[in-house]
Formats: sequence, structure tokens, C-alpha cells
Amino acid sequence: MKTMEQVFATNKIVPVVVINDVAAAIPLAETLLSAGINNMEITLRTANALEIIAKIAKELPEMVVGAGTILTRENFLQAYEAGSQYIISPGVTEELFTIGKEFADKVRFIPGICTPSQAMDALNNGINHVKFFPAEPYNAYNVIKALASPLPQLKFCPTGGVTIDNMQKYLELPNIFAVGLSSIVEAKLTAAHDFAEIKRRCDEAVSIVKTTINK
Amino acid sequence: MRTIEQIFGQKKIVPTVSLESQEIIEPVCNALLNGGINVIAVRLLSAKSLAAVEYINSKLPDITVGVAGIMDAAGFLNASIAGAKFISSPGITPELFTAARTRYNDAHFLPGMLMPSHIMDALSRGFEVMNLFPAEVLNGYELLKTYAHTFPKAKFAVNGGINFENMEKYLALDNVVAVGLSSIADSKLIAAKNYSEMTERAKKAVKLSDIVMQNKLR
Repeated sequence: MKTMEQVFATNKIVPVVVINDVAAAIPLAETLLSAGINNMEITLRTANALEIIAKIAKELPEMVVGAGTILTRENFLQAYEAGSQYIISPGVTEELFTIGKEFADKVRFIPGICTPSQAMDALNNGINHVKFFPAEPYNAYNVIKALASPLPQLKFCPTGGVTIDNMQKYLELPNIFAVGLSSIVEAKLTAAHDFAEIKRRCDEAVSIVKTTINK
Repeated sequence: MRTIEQIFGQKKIVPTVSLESQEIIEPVCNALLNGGINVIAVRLLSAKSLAAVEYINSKLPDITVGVAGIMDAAGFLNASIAGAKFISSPGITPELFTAARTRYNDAHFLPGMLMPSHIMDALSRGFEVMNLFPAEVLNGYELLKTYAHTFPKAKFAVNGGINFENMEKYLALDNVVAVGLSSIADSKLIAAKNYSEMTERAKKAVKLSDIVMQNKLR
């Protein structure tokens, strides 16, 4: 199992992907890899999401494929069995913490949180990488900044309203391990097989990460 | 039992009202009906609130009554026994979910929530229509847009700070089943027994809603 650092250190980007077209899966993953993005969160919002996770996991081992929008224990198990290397939920429930612990040596569970209590809950369940969701409506930049002092061991991936235009401020925070971006792999672009535009957006996001980190 | 969408109808407007004296119940309900609204949410403040719910449910068949502001299981059970067809809470507790399940065939429960974790909790217990509260002060509009993608099953009645100026943007969202408006029959109008103004405000809300719904169909 790769460490969180190995997965996210290179580019600090989690592309949030909504995809139902199995034929677009490999070209999309290859587009991301060509831009230097070596992971992708495939949300369980479409009928074919699990099949697509399995296909990428099998055919492109250099891509770290994760699953998103995990709501239940059943979703978690399906995502793991399909070959997900990380599993992301929009929020936390006891059920998900429990299965996350059961599978702690097999797959990384990155729960979504948005309050200090939920952040403490995550830490108490042995988790030190969380998604902050939904970021922009919940003022995540200021909240994550404020949580750096009381909870220095916790690292965040703000997602939800984070875009190429506002990602830089998040990346400048010390307690960020990645930013979740849904706009670079917009569902309509994938559906239209417009990989050139996806590549352009990925390149732009990666260059923002590079300039921010090198500051 | 009618679905919650059927109760809220196409207008999706739910006036939230305090009905603490017997003689105003019928005139307030008639004022709303005359303005084109056939739903009312009574705030649970006292035994008088429950008496109002009972009265509306048994004597005024043209209007569907619900209860807002339930805090505990006792409040839930009392409201549903009084005849409330929908019941909303500002937040959630395990006992509220339990109480709601025992009255599953009598009243719809709209648990109050804001956060993804709470939405997941409600969905896992089979509650798909929720009360987003307090909406306006916590970026409810942006939250709802995000939740439409993350939780396509979840629908929301939106409460807290909704008024004539901001209701349209909420009604335009597909995951909104209703907006709660306290300004249609607020405490000042009730104290002044100004029923004609309540009718005017109800008409205004209905008109705004009609425009939003027509634009959506385009």
C-alpha cells in the first residue's frame, strides 16, 4: 500500500471524476498521467463507476485509482473489491469509521469532515488525512487555517467549490495534503471525449501547484 | 398517505406561523387559502400550538397542516397525534429518528441538517426529504448546489432567513421541495389581525413561485 505522501506529494491534486462511459476510462486516465497527475477519485455516482475503477486498476497500474461519494459500508466494500487504493466519503458515520478501521491495512479511508468535532472524531479513529467538504460554502480556507494550531497532525484535502481560480490560497496552507478539483475533469468533457481540454485544464492546475510549492 | 412533494405541491411555499390563540386559527388559514396557499407549518410553542394543529386537521380540510420546530420525541409524537402531516426539526438526535419511525405512516419527518455527515445519517435511515436549516446564514444556496451532485437522492425544504428577496434562487434548484416563509403571517400581522395583508403576501409568494416554475419549464 502506497503512503499518502507517495500518492499525493507529486502534485497535490485529486481530480474528482464523474464518469459513466467505460470506453472513456483509459483515455481519461492516460490524459491525467500525461499531465503528471497520478491519482483520480472516481465517484460512485454513475452506474458504471465500479466497473471503471476495476478497469483502470487492472490496465493502468501506474494510476492510483480511488473511489468517492462512498455513503455506506456496502459502497466501501464494493469500491475496495473493485481495486480502489483510497476511499473518500462526503461525510462521516460510525459505520464508515468502523469499516475504515477494519480495512486500515488494505485501503486508505479519507473521510469528509467540516467541523472541529468531526476532525477530532477522525483523529480518534486513527485517521490523519481528511477531506474537507463542502469547502467553499463552509469557509474552509479559514477553518483549515484555524485548525492548524489545535490539530497540527491532521492534514486536509478541501473539496467542493475549489477551482483553478481559488486553489492557490489553499495550497499555501501548511496542513493541506491535496486539493479536490472537479472542474478539471468536468463530466461533460469526459462524456464528449474532449481529452484535449481536460489535458489543458490539468496542465494549468499542475502548474499552479508547482509555482505555489516553489514560492 | 400523500408524498411530501404532493403536500408541498408545485408552489413549494410553506408559511411558518405561530397560532397561540383559538380565534385566529381559522382567519389565518382562510387568509392563506385566499392567497393560493394550502399548506401551513405551525410552530410548536405550547399546548395551544397542538390544539391549533388538531383544529386545522379536523375542521379545515382544504389546508394541510404540519409542525415546525420539534426538539424531542415527545414533541414529535404529540404533533403527529394532533394530526400534523409533516414535522420538521431544527437538528437531529437519535431519539427523533426513532420517534419518526414509529409514526412512519402518519407524518413525514423532515430532519434538520446542514452537513454531509448528517445527510448520510438521514439517508441511511430512509429519510430522503430534509429540512436545511439555518439556510441563509450558512450559505444554504451554495450547499444545496453542491449536495445536488453528491446526494442526488436527498431533497430539501429550506428554512431560516428565507424571504421574498431570496426565495426565488432556492426555488429554482431541483433538489428543493419547499421554502419556509415566516413573513407571510408574521407575529406583527397576527397581533394586528391583518388578514388581508396575509392574503396579499401569500399571493405575492405564489406569484414569485409561479414565475420560477415557468422559467424552469422553458
